[in-house]
Amino acid sequence: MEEIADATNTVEEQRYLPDDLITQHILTRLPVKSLLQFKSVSKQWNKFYLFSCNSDDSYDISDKNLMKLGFDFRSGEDLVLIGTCNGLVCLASFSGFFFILWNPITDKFKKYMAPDLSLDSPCRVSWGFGTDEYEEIGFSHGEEPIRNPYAFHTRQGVLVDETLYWIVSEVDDFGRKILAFDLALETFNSSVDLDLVSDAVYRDKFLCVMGGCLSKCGMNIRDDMTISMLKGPGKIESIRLSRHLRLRSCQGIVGFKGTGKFYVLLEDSTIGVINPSSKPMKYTPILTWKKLGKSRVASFVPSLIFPSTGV
Amino acid sequence: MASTSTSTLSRKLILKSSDGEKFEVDENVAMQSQTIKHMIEDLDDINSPIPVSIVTGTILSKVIEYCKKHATEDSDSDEQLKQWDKEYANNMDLNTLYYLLLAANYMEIKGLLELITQCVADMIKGKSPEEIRAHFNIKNDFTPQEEANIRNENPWAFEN
Repeated sequence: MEEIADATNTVEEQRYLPDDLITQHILTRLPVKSLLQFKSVSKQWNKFYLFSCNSDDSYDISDKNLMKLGFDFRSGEDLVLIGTCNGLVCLASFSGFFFILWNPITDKFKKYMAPDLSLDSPCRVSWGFGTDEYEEIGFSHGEEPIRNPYAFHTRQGVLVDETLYWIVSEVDDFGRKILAFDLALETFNSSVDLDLVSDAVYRDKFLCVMGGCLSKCGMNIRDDMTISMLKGPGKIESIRLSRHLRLRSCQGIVGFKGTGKFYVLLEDSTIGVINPSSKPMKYTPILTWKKLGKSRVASFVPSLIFPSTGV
Repeated sequence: MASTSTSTLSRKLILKSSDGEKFEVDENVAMQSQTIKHMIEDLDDINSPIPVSIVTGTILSKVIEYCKKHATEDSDSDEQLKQWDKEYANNMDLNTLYYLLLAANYMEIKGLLELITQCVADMIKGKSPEEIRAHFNIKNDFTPQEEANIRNENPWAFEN
């Protein structure tokens, strides 16, 4: 008799929800603290956290939801924000002699010395940051001068599909081009499908990522801005932003939303949002850091990977 | 008051639930479901019932209630509509809510999906892992040691 009672108990339906419902629709609405707790619910839930991110339009940057992450590290040297990946923040000393990986959620960090650089070598360091797999954190720092045939115009590499991209020029040539470094194969490649233009009327200013595609952004002499996205081999699509939007001092594109809107950073440390599908296209300033001086902005997705794992 | 002429303008569709119950609805009501919208496009004869295969009659009637309310745009202000949504969700018991969530996901009704997921998120926000397991009937498949390890990764999350 008791067995039957047990059986009916276990038959009681599991409220099974498909993974994508939980990860894309429910967990994205929860605070980090709940997410961390829910990792211990079951093996299935333990995996979820890694995949959750906010891809919809309901999260906007504003003063209200800005959080200050203080990094307490007395290095005596200026730290530069390099980038973030899977929730880890990478900082470097201005000279590039050491790097720090920091997890703001757990507030743990690890310092790495750049291996082959001695303090008196007259080199400048360019860098990029990305991860290969969750356990494996890949670093790449192009060491510029003398023995390297390239001069880096951008210190900060742009990461797309496990490959880092910089704007460089060959030492004996003023023509600028894009240099790629494949993190998985650890090889450099300078034949990228995206060409850089710089002539009397037009100049490509910087590289960025738009919706997962390597993109470049340039201005013409009349201050019209063009963003060209490499959507596939040889397939380039462009967005034109009229000079009337006054984006002349645009420094970078710092976030791309699921709806196609994106954030831009201007030279006076203002972040604004552009909606390319509105007609006419609209630019709306959102916030300015007045006190901080020059800003570097990186997009950030929280994760629970510790800097110490598997490095 | 006699009903206005809008009903004669709109075509009628018949939705059939998984347990065979049939519902006649205006086309603009049914079209809030992307899934049904796509089904109609592929359908030659719109007079034949459209099967909504994983949704029972009880749940489908609730879904239609929501779609009807959101199909008539002019009558309510945004505030009133929000209030209606809130009451609609609050009146569901846990099981209904859960099946509605699956239905909204399957039928691709964005507004309803957002409403219910927010409701579920609010419900589980303050809960402990044990309560989450009970809530969703999830089996704890960790060994005690594994569970302790995960908790120790981020002890602050478990402090009150």
